[in-house]
Amino acid sequence: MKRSPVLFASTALLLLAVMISAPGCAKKVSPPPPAAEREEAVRETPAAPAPTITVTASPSAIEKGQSTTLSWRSTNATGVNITGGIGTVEESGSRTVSPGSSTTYTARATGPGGDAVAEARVTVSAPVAVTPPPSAAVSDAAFFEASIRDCFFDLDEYSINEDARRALIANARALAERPSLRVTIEGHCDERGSERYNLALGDRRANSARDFLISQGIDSSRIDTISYGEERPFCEEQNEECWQLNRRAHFVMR
Amino acid sequence: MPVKIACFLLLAFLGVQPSLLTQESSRVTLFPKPSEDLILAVGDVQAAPGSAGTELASALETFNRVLWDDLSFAGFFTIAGRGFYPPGPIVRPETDIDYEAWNAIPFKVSFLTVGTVSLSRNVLRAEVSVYDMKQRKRAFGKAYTGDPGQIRTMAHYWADEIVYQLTAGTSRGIASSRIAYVSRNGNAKEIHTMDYDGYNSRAFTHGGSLNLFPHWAPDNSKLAFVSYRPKPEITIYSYLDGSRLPFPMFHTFASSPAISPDGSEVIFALRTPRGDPDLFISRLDGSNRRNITNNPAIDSSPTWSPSGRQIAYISGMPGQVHICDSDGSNVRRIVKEGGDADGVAWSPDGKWLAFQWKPRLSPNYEIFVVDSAGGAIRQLTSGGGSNEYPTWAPDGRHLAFQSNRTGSWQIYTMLLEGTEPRRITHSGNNTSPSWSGYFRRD
Repeated sequence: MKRSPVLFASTALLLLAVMISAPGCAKKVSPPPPAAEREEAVRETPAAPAPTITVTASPSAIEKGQSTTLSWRSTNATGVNITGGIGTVEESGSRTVSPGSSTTYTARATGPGGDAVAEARVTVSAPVAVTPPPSAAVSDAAFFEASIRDCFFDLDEYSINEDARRALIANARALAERPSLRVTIEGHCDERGSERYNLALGDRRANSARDFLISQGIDSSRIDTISYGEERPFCEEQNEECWQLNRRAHFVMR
Repeated sequence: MPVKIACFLLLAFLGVQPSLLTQESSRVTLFPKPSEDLILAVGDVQAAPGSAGTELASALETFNRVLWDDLSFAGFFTIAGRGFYPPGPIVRPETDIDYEAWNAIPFKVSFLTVGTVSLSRNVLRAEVSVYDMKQRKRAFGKAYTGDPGQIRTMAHYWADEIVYQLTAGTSRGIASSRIAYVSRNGNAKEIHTMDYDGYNSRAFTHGGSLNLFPHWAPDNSKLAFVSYRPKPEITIYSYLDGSRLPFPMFHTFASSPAISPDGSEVIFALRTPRGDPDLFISRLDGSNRRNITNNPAIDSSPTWSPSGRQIAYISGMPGQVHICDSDGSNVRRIVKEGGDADGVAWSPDGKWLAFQWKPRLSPNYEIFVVDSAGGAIRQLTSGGGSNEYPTWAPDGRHLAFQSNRTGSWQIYTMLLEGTEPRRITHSGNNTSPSWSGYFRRD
């Protein structure tokens, strides 16, 4: 079964989602140590200058499985330690990290003049399979993939059941929102009926779905239909789950 | 009983499983049994005097095997078991047939087929005869010439000649008939044709799309089928020159074409504006199209009565066998059992409708027949798996069908009683058989 256009569309969508959700290099500069602390340190060791440290994560928001770069820079420090499994590091440097969940990295610079602390937070999100809000920037293919769903039928039926009705109402809304989109509805059947009967039943299913969309105000010229009967099964096992998957009106973009 | 002995030996020598013997007692009798008076002995053809060689030996072996298979499957006569034949090859029948020895075996052979084959300069020549064993003289004979690749065809022609002569024209013989079917090739399905025994298979379509439900014109001059172009369209090809006949495309849904017995019209299912497929009849060029059935149900799988005056078809969900006159009047439901039916096929003598039927939720169909005037349905298949789409041989004594009893879809043939099932395709996925008319000309 050819599904490569669909695969291509979902890959493109994923890339798009990543691009949208990833901001530019937002540098998080840690605040200076509290004044009281600094004053106290000055009082205790007036001879040694206090250390300073800054740490940033770029990018600061990633998807699970991706990595980000921690960079830090310290002055007047004899030792630098970073939490989050990094440990003792050089005074200034960078590390690539790939945290499994959102993590705050605390960098502590220690020197004769005292300690300095800075933080960088990396936000980790689950991979986005989600749909960006439809906009002109989204291609018809991406919009189709995100918005149009197949609907399914009961055994030996071509009438629209409640689940199919919900799916088709959503499809009608999407088609109304995207007037450039044109679809072909393929009618499919499970293998239990006879081939000739199923070819006719698949045609009725495709046309039931089409008629429903037309009843929702979609122009008939935008919807083509074709029956494949039992010739193009989605699932080839012999059980009810599989048969249900094959009793469908499958939407493809024209 | 000589006949019973002959039958037993026939089965024994064919290596038939004992289960077939037990099936004998429960067989449905729809036709007169093979004539018990007419016992045919099938003598091996021999090398003609002065002809020899391994290629000839191979041709002889093929001819004898094919002739035996054809005649034993013909269903018209009892074949005498080989073990009783008097020894000694019959090359010159006038002197080599020992009538006294034939008379001494425990049953009376009515006819004996004998012959010789020669191979010279790559030309095969078969000279074959049938001898009347009561009259002790030659009854009829034929000579066939061809290239060595045609040895099977020669045997089929001779088998058909014997059937034609010994049935006094009741049958012209099915051994030279062909079967069209659908063979899957990846995502494509192509129309193929093959000899009635599964040999000499040839692809008829090469489109790489879906081609479904082939149906022969009764005179074998055309094949009608459904072809995705890109939607399912009625497609009619000349079988003689391979050209496509002009026929309108509907760009919606069209299915199940069947050419009328007189070859002038075609019936098919076509989606109506109401959304459901009804049956239509038109001329072969698509003109004079008229609506035959007109109801909101799915109507499909039409078959003509041999007279052309009636149509049997499937209507409803699940499908039910109906009959109407060919103008659409006088609709009546034939099979009263409920369940789900499809693949109805009208027998050449008009008496029977073969179809596939199952209880509604059962996964498997079986092949049944019902008297075309109505009545009880009778089951023909019981070989396991699903058995579907029966198609009649032109003699009305044999059916081909598709079955997945071995795990893949293959084509089978059988005698009408359900006996002697033979698997004739062996690899891939093969469905939708359509048996041609007679190919043999008088």
